[in-house]
Amino acid sequence: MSIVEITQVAKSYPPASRGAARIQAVNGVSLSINEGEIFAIIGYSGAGKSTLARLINGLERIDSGQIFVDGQSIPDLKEKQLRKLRQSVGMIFQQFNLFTSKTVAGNIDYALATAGWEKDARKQRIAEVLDFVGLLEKAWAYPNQLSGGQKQRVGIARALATRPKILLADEATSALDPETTGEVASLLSRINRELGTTIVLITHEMDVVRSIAHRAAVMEKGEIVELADTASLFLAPKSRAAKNFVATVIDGEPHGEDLARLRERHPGRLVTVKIPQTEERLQERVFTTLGAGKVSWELVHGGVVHLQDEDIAVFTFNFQGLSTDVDALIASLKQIVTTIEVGR
Amino acid sequence: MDNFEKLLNLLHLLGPATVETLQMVLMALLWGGLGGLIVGVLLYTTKTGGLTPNRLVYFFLNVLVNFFRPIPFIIFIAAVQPLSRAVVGTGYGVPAATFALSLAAVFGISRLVEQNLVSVPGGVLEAALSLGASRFRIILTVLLPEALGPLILGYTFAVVALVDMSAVAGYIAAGGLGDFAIQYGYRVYNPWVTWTAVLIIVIIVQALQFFGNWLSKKFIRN
Repeated sequence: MSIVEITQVAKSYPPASRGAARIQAVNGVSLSINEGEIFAIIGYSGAGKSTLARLINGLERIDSGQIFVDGQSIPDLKEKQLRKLRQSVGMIFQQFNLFTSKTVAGNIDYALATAGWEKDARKQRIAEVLDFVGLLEKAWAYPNQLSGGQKQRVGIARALATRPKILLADEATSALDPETTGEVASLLSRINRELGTTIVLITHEMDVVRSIAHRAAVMEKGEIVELADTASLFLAPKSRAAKNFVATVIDGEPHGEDLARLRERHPGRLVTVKIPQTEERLQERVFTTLGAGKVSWELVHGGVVHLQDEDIAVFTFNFQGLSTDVDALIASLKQIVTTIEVGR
Repeated sequence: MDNFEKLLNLLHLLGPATVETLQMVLMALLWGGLGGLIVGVLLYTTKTGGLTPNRLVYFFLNVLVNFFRPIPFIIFIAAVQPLSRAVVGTGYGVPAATFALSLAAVFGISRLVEQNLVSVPGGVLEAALSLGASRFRIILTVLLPEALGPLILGYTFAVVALVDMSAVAGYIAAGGLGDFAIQYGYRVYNPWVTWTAVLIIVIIVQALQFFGNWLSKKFIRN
Protein backbone atom coordinates (compact mmCIF):
# COMPACT_ATOMS: atom_id res chain seq x y z
CA MET A 1 0.00 0.00 0.00
CA SER A 2 1.34 3.41 -0.86
CA ILE A 3 1.76 5.95 1.93
CA VAL A 4 2.94 8.77 -0.34
CA GLU A 5 1.22 9.26 -3.69
CA ILE A 6 2.64 11.99 -5.90
CA THR A 7 0.90 12.76 -9.19
CA GLN A 8 2.14 15.18 -11.87
CA VAL A 9 3.60 17.56 -9.30
CA ALA A 10 5.32 20.79 -10.29
CA LYS A 11 7.07 23.42 -8.21
CA SER A 12 8.97 26.50 -9.34
CA TYR A 13 10.75 29.32 -7.52
CA PRO A 14 11.15 32.99 -8.38
CA PRO A 15 14.43 33.62 -10.18
CA ALA A 16 17.47 34.85 -8.26
CA SER A 17 17.76 37.92 -10.47
CA ARG A 18 14.97 40.06 -11.83
CA GLY A 19 13.82 39.31 -15.35
CA ALA A 20 15.26 35.79 -15.44
CA ALA A 21 13.00 32.79 -15.92
CA ARG A 22 11.46 31.05 -12.91
CA ILE A 23 13.44 28.09 -11.65
CA GLN A 24 11.54 24.87 -12.28
CA ALA A 25 12.66 22.76 -9.31
CA VAL A 26 10.20 19.90 -9.75
CA ASN A 27 8.56 19.25 -13.10
CA GLY A 28 5.74 16.77 -13.64
CA VAL A 29 6.87 14.21 -11.08
CA SER A 30 4.72 11.15 -10.35
CA LEU A 31 5.67 8.40 -7.96
CA SER A 32 4.25 6.35 -5.16
CA ILE A 33 6.13 5.29 -2.06
CA ASN A 34 5.03 2.12 -0.33
CA GLU A 35 4.39 1.86 3.36
CA GLY A 36 7.37 0.33 5.14
CA GLU A 37 9.97 0.71 2.42
CA ILE A 38 13.18 2.69 2.16
CA PHE A 39 12.76 4.74 -0.98
CA ALA A 40 15.79 6.60 -2.26
CA ILE A 41 15.58 9.76 -4.34
CA ILE A 42 18.93 10.14 -6.06
CA GLY A 43 20.23 13.16 -7.92
CA TYR A 44 23.01 15.71 -8.17
CA SER A 45 22.62 19.00 -6.31
CA GLY A 46 19.98 21.13 -7.97
CA ALA A 47 18.13 18.12 -9.38
CA GLY A 48 15.06 19.00 -7.30
CA LYS A 49 15.19 16.12 -4.83
CA SER A 50 15.27 18.28 -1.67
CA THR A 51 12.35 20.33 -2.97
CA LEU A 52 10.43 17.11 -3.64
CA ALA A 53 11.01 16.03 -0.02
CA ARG A 54 9.75 19.39 1.26
CA LEU A 55 6.59 19.05 -0.81
CA ILE A 56 5.82 15.84 1.07
CA ASN A 57 5.67 17.52 4.50
CA GLY A 58 4.29 20.75 3.10
CA LEU A 59 7.30 22.93 3.94
CA GLU A 60 6.89 23.97 0.31
CA ARG A 61 3.50 24.13 -1.40
CA ILE A 62 3.05 22.64 -4.86
CA ASP A 63 2.17 24.77 -7.91
CA SER A 64 0.16 22.01 -9.58
CA GLY A 65 -0.53 18.30 -9.34
CA GLN A 66 -1.54 16.27 -6.31
CA ILE A 67 0.14 14.78 -3.25
CA PHE A 68 -1.44 12.36 -0.83
CA VAL A 69 0.44 11.57 2.36
CA ASP A 70 -1.05 8.91 4.61
CA GLY A 71 -4.39 9.42 2.90
CA GLN A 72 -4.45 13.20 3.29
CA SER A 73 -4.44 15.59 0.35
CA ILE A 74 -1.55 17.97 1.15
CA PRO A 75 -2.63 20.88 -1.11
CA ASP A 76 -6.01 20.98 0.65
CA LEU A 77 -4.63 21.14 4.19
CA LYS A 78 -4.86 24.40 6.13
CA GLU A 79 -1.76 25.64 7.98
CA LYS A 80 -2.98 24.15 11.26
CA GLN A 81 -3.77 20.74 9.74
CA LEU A 82 -0.41 20.79 8.00
CA ARG A 83 1.34 21.31 11.34
CA LYS A 84 -0.52 18.30 12.69
CA LEU A 85 0.53 16.22 9.68
CA ARG A 86 4.18 17.18 10.16
CA GLN A 87 4.12 15.43 13.52
CA SER A 88 3.65 12.17 11.62
CA VAL A 89 6.34 12.99 9.05
CA GLY A 90 9.76 13.33 10.68
CA MET A 91 12.64 15.05 8.93
CA ILE A 92 16.41 14.95 9.34
CA PHE A 93 18.93 17.23 7.68
CA GLN A 94 22.44 17.37 6.24
CA GLN A 95 23.53 20.02 8.76
CA PHE A 96 21.56 18.30 11.57
CA ASN A 97 19.81 21.60 12.45
CA LEU A 98 19.76 20.95 16.20
CA PHE A 99 18.73 23.72 18.59
CA THR A 100 22.11 24.77 19.99
CA SER A 101 20.53 26.56 22.95
CA LYS A 102 18.84 23.37 24.13
CA THR A 103 20.31 20.17 25.51
CA VAL A 104 19.99 16.86 23.68
CA ALA A 105 16.96 16.04 25.85
CA GLY A 106 15.65 19.58 25.28
CA ASN A 107 15.82 19.10 21.51
CA ILE A 108 13.70 15.98 21.72
CA ASP A 109 11.39 17.53 24.28
CA TYR A 110 10.70 20.35 21.84
CA ALA A 111 9.23 17.91 19.33
CA LEU A 112 7.06 16.29 22.01
CA ALA A 113 5.91 19.56 23.60
CA THR A 114 5.00 20.91 20.16
CA ALA A 115 2.88 17.82 19.61
CA GLY A 116 1.16 18.43 22.94
CA TRP A 117 2.53 15.50 24.97
CA GLU A 118 2.12 15.51 28.76
CA LYS A 119 5.21 16.10 30.86
CA ASP A 120 5.56 12.58 32.28
CA ALA A 121 5.01 10.93 28.92
CA ARG A 122 7.60 13.27 27.39
CA LYS A 123 10.21 12.35 29.96
CA GLN A 124 9.70 8.66 29.35
CA ARG A 125 9.69 9.02 25.57
CA ILE A 126 12.95 11.06 25.60
CA ALA A 127 14.70 8.24 27.45
CA GLU A 128 13.19 5.71 25.07
CA VAL A 129 14.32 7.35 21.82
CA LEU A 130 17.75 8.26 23.20
CA ASP A 131 18.21 4.67 24.21
CA PHE A 132 17.16 3.58 20.74
CA VAL A 133 19.83 5.74 19.05
CA GLY A 134 22.38 4.83 21.75
CA LEU A 135 22.85 8.28 23.26
CA LEU A 136 21.15 7.97 26.64
CA GLU A 137 24.28 9.15 28.46
CA LYS A 138 24.36 12.36 26.38
CA ALA A 139 20.87 13.55 27.40
CA TRP A 140 22.22 16.60 29.24
CA ALA A 141 24.96 17.50 26.77
CA TYR A 142 24.61 20.44 24.42
CA PRO A 143 24.84 19.83 20.65
CA ASN A 144 28.22 21.59 20.37
CA GLN A 145 29.70 18.96 22.68
CA LEU A 146 28.81 16.15 20.25
CA SER A 147 30.52 14.70 17.17
CA GLY A 148 28.86 14.87 13.74
CA GLY A 149 27.55 11.33 13.94
CA GLN A 150 26.16 11.89 17.44
CA LYS A 151 24.47 15.11 16.29
CA GLN A 152 22.74 13.25 13.48
CA ARG A 153 21.62 10.55 15.90
CA VAL A 154 20.08 13.28 18.07
CA GLY A 155 18.44 14.66 14.90
CA ILE A 156 17.04 11.20 14.24
CA ALA A 157 15.85 10.80 17.84
CA ARG A 158 14.14 14.20 17.65
CA ALA A 159 12.45 13.29 14.36
CA LEU A 160 11.31 9.92 15.71
CA ALA A 161 10.05 11.21 19.06
CA THR A 162 6.44 11.60 17.99
CA ARG A 163 6.43 8.15 16.31
CA PRO A 164 6.10 9.37 12.73
CA LYS A 165 5.05 6.98 10.00
CA ILE A 166 7.42 8.57 7.52
CA LEU A 167 10.98 9.81 7.95
CA LEU A 168 12.38 12.24 5.36
CA ALA A 169 16.18 12.04 5.35
CA ASP A 170 17.52 15.02 3.38
CA GLU A 171 21.19 14.26 2.61
CA ALA A 172 21.38 13.01 6.18
CA THR A 173 24.82 11.42 5.77
CA SER A 174 26.42 13.88 3.36
CA ALA A 175 28.25 15.87 6.04
CA LEU A 176 29.64 12.75 7.72
CA ASP A 177 32.85 10.77 7.20
CA PRO A 178 32.53 7.33 5.53
CA GLU A 179 32.60 5.34 8.77
CA THR A 180 29.97 7.50 10.48
CA THR A 181 27.92 7.44 7.27
CA GLY A 182 27.81 3.66 7.59
CA GLU A 183 26.68 3.87 11.22
CA VAL A 184 23.90 6.32 10.46
CA ALA A 185 22.80 4.26 7.43
CA SER A 186 22.61 1.15 9.65
CA LEU A 187 20.55 3.08 12.17
CA LEU A 188 18.11 4.18 9.44
CA SER A 189 17.84 0.59 8.26
CA ARG A 190 17.16 -0.57 11.83
CA ILE A 191 14.44 2.10 12.23
CA ASN A 192 12.84 0.80 9.05
CA ARG A 193 13.01 -2.83 10.16
CA GLU A 194 12.14 -2.52 13.85
CA LEU A 195 9.70 0.40 13.84
CA GLY A 196 8.29 -0.10 10.35
CA THR A 197 8.94 3.55 9.52
CA THR A 198 8.80 4.40 5.83
CA ILE A 199 12.01 6.24 4.94
CA VAL A 200 12.45 8.65 2.05
CA LEU A 201 16.17 8.86 1.50
CA ILE A 202 17.28 11.98 -0.38
CA THR A 203 20.91 11.48 -1.33
CA HIS A 204 23.66 11.58 -3.89
CA GLU A 205 25.65 8.92 -2.04
CA MET A 206 25.13 5.66 -3.89
CA ASP A 207 26.88 3.66 -1.21
CA VAL A 208 24.03 4.48 1.18
CA VAL A 209 21.42 3.65 -1.48
CA ARG A 210 23.21 0.38 -2.18
CA SER A 211 23.33 -0.69 1.44
CA ILE A 212 19.82 0.17 2.66
CA ALA A 213 17.34 1.25 -0.05
CA HIS A 214 14.65 -1.02 -1.46
CA ARG A 215 13.71 1.15 -4.40
CA ALA A 216 15.13 4.28 -5.95
CA ALA A 217 14.17 7.11 -8.25
CA VAL A 218 16.82 9.07 -10.12
CA MET A 219 16.09 12.77 -10.60
CA GLU A 220 17.59 15.13 -13.12
CA LYS A 221 16.51 18.72 -13.82
CA GLY A 222 13.34 18.36 -11.77
CA GLU A 223 12.20 15.18 -13.46
CA ILE A 224 12.37 11.52 -12.58
CA VAL A 225 14.48 9.88 -15.25
CA GLU A 226 14.48 6.38 -13.80
CA LEU A 227 12.62 4.45 -11.14
CA ALA A 228 13.41 0.87 -10.19
CA ASP A 229 14.06 -1.47 -7.31
CA THR A 230 17.64 -1.09 -6.11
CA ALA A 231 18.84 -4.38 -7.59
CA SER A 232 17.57 -3.57 -11.09
CA LEU A 233 19.00 -0.08 -10.86
CA PHE A 234 22.44 -1.44 -10.04
CA LEU A 235 22.22 -4.29 -12.53
CA ALA A 236 20.95 -2.37 -15.50
CA PRO A 237 20.81 1.41 -15.12
CA LYS A 238 19.15 2.88 -18.20
CA SER A 239 19.51 6.66 -17.99
CA ARG A 240 22.84 8.42 -18.26
CA ALA A 241 22.43 9.88 -14.76
CA ALA A 242 21.65 6.48 -13.24
CA LYS A 243 24.66 4.93 -15.02
CA ASN A 244 26.93 7.61 -13.61
CA PHE A 245 25.58 7.12 -10.10
CA VAL A 246 25.85 3.33 -10.26
CA ALA A 247 29.41 3.60 -11.56
CA THR A 248 30.40 5.40 -8.35
CA VAL A 249 29.92 2.22 -6.31
CA ILE A 250 30.08 -0.78 -8.63
CA ASP A 251 33.81 -1.29 -8.69
CA GLY A 252 33.47 -4.41 -10.82
CA GLU A 253 32.72 -2.19 -13.78
CA PRO A 254 35.90 -0.39 -14.85
CA HIS A 255 35.68 3.28 -15.71
CA GLY A 256 37.93 6.29 -16.07
CA GLU A 257 41.58 5.63 -15.28
CA ASP A 258 40.97 1.92 -14.59
CA LEU A 259 39.38 1.38 -17.95
CA ALA A 260 42.16 3.20 -19.80
CA ARG A 261 44.76 1.06 -18.01
CA LEU A 262 42.89 -2.18 -18.83
CA ARG A 263 42.63 -1.11 -22.45
CA GLU A 264 46.38 -0.59 -22.57
CA ARG A 265 47.27 -3.91 -20.94
CA HIS A 266 44.77 -6.16 -22.69
CA PRO A 267 44.57 -6.25 -26.47
CA GLY A 268 41.26 -8.22 -26.62
CA ARG A 269 37.67 -7.05 -26.14
CA LEU A 270 36.60 -6.07 -22.65
CA VAL A 271 33.18 -7.28 -21.54
CA THR A 272 31.49 -6.68 -18.18
CA VAL A 273 28.82 -9.07 -16.91
CA LYS A 274 26.58 -8.39 -13.89
CA ILE A 275 25.32 -11.49 -12.16
CA PRO A 276 22.69 -11.24 -9.42
CA GLN A 277 23.28 -13.98 -6.86
CA THR A 278 19.68 -14.61 -5.87
CA GLU A 279 18.86 -16.19 -9.22
CA GLU A 280 19.58 -19.84 -9.51
CA ARG A 281 23.07 -20.87 -10.62
CA LEU A 282 23.51 -17.87 -12.89
CA GLN A 283 27.21 -17.66 -12.14
CA GLU A 284 27.65 -21.30 -12.99
CA ARG A 285 25.81 -20.85 -16.28
CA VAL A 286 27.98 -17.84 -17.15
CA PHE A 287 31.19 -19.77 -16.55
CA THR A 288 29.90 -22.82 -18.41
CA THR A 289 29.12 -20.60 -21.40
CA LEU A 290 32.60 -19.08 -21.19
CA GLY A 291 34.19 -22.55 -21.22
CA ALA A 292 32.08 -23.87 -24.10
CA GLY A 293 33.17 -21.34 -26.73
CA LYS A 294 36.39 -21.05 -28.74
CA VAL A 295 37.20 -17.71 -27.20
CA SER A 296 40.00 -17.50 -24.67
CA TRP A 297 39.00 -15.48 -21.63
CA GLU A 298 40.73 -13.87 -18.73
CA LEU A 299 39.20 -12.23 -15.63
CA VAL A 300 40.70 -8.73 -15.47
CA HIS A 301 38.49 -6.76 -13.08
CA GLY A 302 35.63 -7.40 -10.69
CA GLY A 303 33.95 -7.62 -7.33
CA VAL A 304 30.73 -8.34 -5.50
CA VAL A 305 28.38 -5.49 -4.57
CA HIS A 306 26.16 -5.97 -1.55
CA LEU A 307 22.70 -4.46 -1.88
CA GLN A 308 19.90 -4.29 0.67
CA ASP A 309 18.15 -7.36 -0.74
CA GLU A 310 20.77 -9.22 -2.73
CA ASP A 311 24.36 -9.37 -3.94
CA ILE A 312 25.54 -8.70 -7.45
CA ALA A 313 28.80 -10.05 -8.85
CA VAL A 314 30.30 -7.80 -11.48
CA PHE A 315 33.13 -9.24 -13.55
CA THR A 316 35.03 -7.80 -16.47
CA PHE A 317 36.65 -10.26 -18.90
CA ASN A 318 39.20 -9.85 -21.63
CA PHE A 319 38.08 -11.95 -24.62
CA GLN A 320 40.52 -12.97 -27.33
CA GLY A 321 39.62 -14.90 -30.47
CA LEU A 322 37.97 -14.54 -33.88
CA SER A 323 35.64 -11.56 -33.85
CA THR A 324 32.69 -13.70 -34.99
CA ASP A 325 33.34 -16.11 -32.09
CA VAL A 326 33.57 -13.26 -29.59
CA ASP A 327 30.31 -11.77 -30.96
CA ALA A 328 28.61 -15.15 -30.56
CA LEU A 329 29.88 -15.50 -26.97
CA ILE A 330 28.66 -12.02 -26.06
CA ALA A 331 25.27 -12.81 -27.60
CA SER A 332 24.88 -15.99 -25.56
CA LEU A 333 26.01 -14.23 -22.35
CA LYS A 334 23.42 -11.54 -23.00
CA GLN A 335 20.74 -14.23 -22.89
CA ILE A 336 21.76 -15.10 -19.32
CA VAL A 337 22.79 -11.86 -17.64
CA THR A 338 23.38 -8.14 -18.18
CA THR A 339 26.39 -7.99 -20.47
CA ILE A 340 28.08 -4.81 -21.62
CA GLU A 341 31.08 -4.40 -23.86
CA VAL A 342 33.18 -1.64 -22.33
CA GLY A 343 35.79 0.74 -23.66
CA ARG A 344 35.28 0.23 -27.38
CA MET B 1 37.42 78.30 48.06
CA ASP B 2 39.36 76.09 45.65
CA ASN B 3 37.78 73.79 43.10
CA PHE B 4 38.17 70.65 45.20
CA GLU B 5 36.35 72.22 48.14
CA LYS B 6 33.56 73.33 45.80
CA LEU B 7 33.22 69.73 44.65
CA LEU B 8 32.86 68.57 48.24
CA ASN B 9 30.05 71.07 48.74
CA LEU B 10 28.28 69.72 45.65
CA LEU B 11 28.51 66.06 46.61
CA HIS B 12 24.95 66.02 47.93
CA LEU B 13 23.80 66.68 44.34
CA LEU B 14 25.87 63.84 42.91
CA GLY B 15 23.69 61.09 44.39
CA PRO B 16 20.43 62.38 42.89
CA ALA B 17 22.17 63.02 39.54
CA THR B 18 23.42 59.42 39.46
CA VAL B 19 19.96 58.15 40.33
CA GLU B 20 18.43 60.29 37.56
CA THR B 21 20.86 58.91 35.01
CA LEU B 22 20.28 55.31 36.08
CA GLN B 23 16.54 55.86 36.13
CA MET B 24 16.46 57.27 32.61
CA VAL B 25 18.83 54.64 31.21
CA LEU B 26 17.17 51.64 32.81
CA MET B 27 13.62 52.74 31.99
CA ALA B 28 14.67 53.46 28.39
CA LEU B 29 16.34 50.05 28.26
CA LEU B 30 13.12 48.43 29.42
CA TRP B 31 10.71 50.25 27.09
CA GLY B 32 13.08 50.80 24.19
CA GLY B 33 14.40 47.28 24.57
CA LEU B 34 10.93 45.80 24.41
CA GLY B 35 9.85 48.01 21.50
CA GLY B 36 13.14 47.39 19.69
CA LEU B 37 12.73 43.66 20.16
CA ILE B 38 9.27 43.70 18.64
CA VAL B 39 10.23 45.95 15.72
CA GLY B 40 13.48 44.02 15.18
CA VAL B 41 11.70 40.65 15.12
CA LEU B 42 9.13 42.09 12.70
CA LEU B 43 11.87 43.44 10.44
CA TYR B 44 13.45 39.98 10.45
CA THR B 45 10.30 37.93 9.91
CA THR B 46 8.55 40.15 7.34
CA LYS B 47 11.57 40.37 5.06
CA THR B 48 11.28 38.47 1.73
CA GLY B 49 12.21 34.86 2.47
CA GLY B 50 11.52 35.32 6.19
CA LEU B 51 9.15 33.36 8.42
CA THR B 52 6.15 35.57 7.65
CA PRO B 53 7.11 37.63 4.58
CA ASN B 54 5.07 40.82 4.20
CA ARG B 55 6.41 43.46 1.85
CA LEU B 56 4.16 46.25 3.07
CA VAL B 57 4.97 45.87 6.78
CA TYR B 58 8.68 45.45 6.06
CA PHE B 59 8.79 48.51 3.80
CA PHE B 60 6.96 50.67 6.34
CA LEU B 61 9.11 49.60 9.30
CA ASN B 62 12.30 49.84 7.31
CA VAL B 63 11.58 53.41 6.21
CA LEU B 64 10.49 54.38 9.74
CA VAL B 65 13.67 53.06 11.32
CA ASN B 66 15.90 54.53 8.64
CA PHE B 67 14.21 57.91 9.05
CA PHE B 68 14.55 58.25 12.83
CA ARG B 69 17.76 56.40 13.57
CA PRO B 70 20.26 58.90 12.11
CA ILE B 71 18.78 61.96 13.91
CA PRO B 72 21.34 63.27 16.45
CA PHE B 73 19.88 62.76 19.92
CA ILE B 74 20.20 66.39 21.01
CA ILE B 75 17.92 67.33 18.09
CA PHE B 76 15.70 64.28 18.54
CA ILE B 77 15.00 65.07 22.22
CA ALA B 78 13.79 68.55 21.24
CA ALA B 79 11.92 67.40 18.15
CA VAL B 80 9.83 64.80 19.96
CA GLN B 81 8.80 67.24 22.74
CA PRO B 82 5.24 67.64 21.40
CA LEU B 83 4.88 63.88 21.23
CA SER B 84 6.19 63.39 24.74
CA ARG B 85 3.70 66.00 26.02
CA ALA B 86 0.96 63.89 24.45
CA VAL B 87 2.25 60.60 25.81
CA VAL B 88 3.76 61.32 29.25
CA GLY B 89 2.05 64.65 29.87
CA THR B 90 5.15 66.84 29.93
CA GLY B 91 7.89 68.05 27.63
CA TYR B 92 10.43 68.54 30.41
CA GLY B 93 12.21 66.60 33.12
CA VAL B 94 13.01 62.95 33.65
CA PRO B 95 9.71 61.57 32.20
CA ALA B 96 10.13 63.48 28.92
CA ALA B 97 13.80 62.52 28.65
CA THR B 98 12.99 58.89 29.40
CA PHE B 99 10.34 58.97 26.70
CA ALA B 100 12.73 60.41 24.11
CA LEU B 101 15.45 57.95 25.08
CA SER B 102 13.03 55.02 24.86
CA LEU B 103 11.78 56.07 21.46
CA ALA B 104 15.30 56.53 20.09
CA ALA B 105 16.23 53.18 21.62
CA VAL B 106 13.39 51.43 19.78
CA PHE B 107 14.84 52.47 16.42
CA GLY B 108 18.45 51.75 17.34
CA ILE B 109 17.81 48.44 19.09
CA SER B 110 15.50 47.15 16.34
CA ARG B 111 18.43 47.11 13.91
CA LEU B 112 20.67 45.37 16.44
CA VAL B 113 17.99 42.74 17.00
CA GLU B 114 17.42 42.23 13.26
CA GLN B 115 21.16 41.81 12.63
CA ASN B 116 21.58 39.31 15.45
CA LEU B 117 18.61 37.22 14.34
CA VAL B 118 20.09 36.87 10.87
CA SER B 119 22.91 34.86 12.46
CA VAL B 120 20.49 32.04 13.36
CA PRO B 121 20.79 29.38 10.60
CA GLY B 122 17.62 29.04 8.52
CA GLY B 123 17.89 25.26 8.81
CA VAL B 124 17.21 25.39 12.54
CA LEU B 125 13.94 27.23 11.92
CA GLU B 126 13.10 24.75 9.18
CA ALA B 127 13.68 21.90 11.65
CA ALA B 128 11.20 23.49 14.05
CA LEU B 129 8.69 23.90 11.20
CA SER B 130 9.18 20.24 10.27
CA LEU B 131 8.26 19.30 13.84
CA GLY B 132 4.93 21.04 13.37
CA ALA B 133 5.65 24.19 15.39
CA SER B 134 3.72 27.37 14.54
CA ARG B 135 5.61 30.43 13.36
CA PHE B 136 4.77 32.38 16.51
CA ARG B 137 5.96 29.52 18.68
CA ILE B 138 9.18 29.29 16.66
CA ILE B 139 9.93 32.98 17.17
CA LEU B 140 9.54 32.68 20.94
CA THR B 141 10.98 29.22 21.55
CA VAL B 142 13.63 28.80 18.85
CA LEU B 143 14.60 32.08 17.16
CA LEU B 144 15.09 34.23 20.28
CA PRO B 145 16.71 31.50 22.45
CA GLU B 146 19.11 30.59 19.62
CA ALA B 147 20.17 34.25 19.26
CA LEU B 148 20.15 35.03 22.99
CA GLY B 149 23.92 35.24 23.52
CA PRO B 150 24.54 37.73 20.70
CA LEU B 151 21.31 39.58 21.59
CA ILE B 152 22.57 40.19 25.13
CA LEU B 153 25.80 41.62 23.71
CA GLY B 154 23.73 43.81 21.40
CA TYR B 155 21.65 45.10 24.30
CA THR B 156 24.82 45.75 26.29
CA PHE B 157 26.07 47.87 23.41
CA ALA B 158 22.70 49.65 23.34
CA VAL B 159 22.61 50.40 27.07
CA VAL B 160 26.09 51.90 26.92
CA ALA B 161 24.87 54.10 24.07
CA LEU B 162 21.88 55.09 26.26
CA VAL B 163 24.22 56.24 29.05
CA ASP B 164 25.97 58.38 26.46
CA MET B 165 22.68 59.79 25.12
CA SER B 166 21.27 60.45 28.60
CA ALA B 167 24.00 63.03 29.19
CA VAL B 168 22.01 65.34 26.91
CA ALA B 169 18.92 65.11 29.14
CA GLY B 170 19.87 68.30 31.02
CA TYR B 171 18.85 70.09 27.85
CA ILE B 172 15.21 69.52 28.76
CA ALA B 173 15.77 69.91 32.52
CA ALA B 174 15.98 66.20 33.29
CA GLY B 175 19.20 66.45 35.29
CA GLY B 176 21.49 63.45 35.43
CA LEU B 177 25.26 63.15 35.52
CA GLY B 178 25.73 64.89 32.17
CA ASP B 179 23.84 67.90 33.42
CA PHE B 180 25.81 67.85 36.68
CA ALA B 181 29.09 67.88 34.77
CA ILE B 182 28.06 70.74 32.49
CA GLN B 183 26.23 72.95 35.04
CA TYR B 184 28.59 72.69 38.00
CA GLY B 185 31.78 71.73 36.20
CA TYR B 186 32.17 73.07 32.70
CA ARG B 187 30.19 76.33 33.09
CA VAL B 188 32.12 77.42 36.20
CA TYR B 189 35.52 76.16 35.03
CA ASN B 190 35.74 73.41 37.65
CA PRO B 191 37.43 70.31 36.15
CA TRP B 192 37.14 68.47 39.51
CA VAL B 193 33.37 68.38 39.15
CA THR B 194 33.41 67.48 35.46
CA TRP B 195 35.84 64.63 36.01
CA THR B 196 33.97 63.28 39.00
CA ALA B 197 30.87 62.92 36.82
CA VAL B 198 33.00 61.34 34.09
CA LEU B 199 34.42 58.87 36.60
CA ILE B 200 30.97 57.76 37.75
CA ILE B 201 29.77 57.40 34.16
CA VAL B 202 32.84 55.29 33.36
CA ILE B 203 32.14 53.08 36.39
CA ILE B 204 28.49 52.63 35.32
CA VAL B 205 29.51 51.76 31.75
CA GLN B 206 32.19 49.31 32.90
CA ALA B 207 29.75 47.59 35.25
CA LEU B 208 27.10 47.27 32.54
CA GLN B 209 29.62 45.97 30.02
CA PHE B 210 31.03 43.45 32.49
CA PHE B 211 27.55 42.22 33.40
CA GLY B 212 26.51 41.96 29.74
CA ASN B 213 29.63 39.99 28.79
CA TRP B 214 29.19 37.65 31.73
CA LEU B 215 25.51 37.05 30.99
CA SER B 216 25.98 36.47 27.25
CA LYS B 217 28.72 33.91 27.90
CA LYS B 218 26.21 31.83 29.83
CA PHE B 219 24.05 31.55 26.73
CA ILE B 220 26.54 31.29 23.86
CA ARG B 221 26.93 27.60 23.12
CA ASN B 222 28.61 27.51 19.77
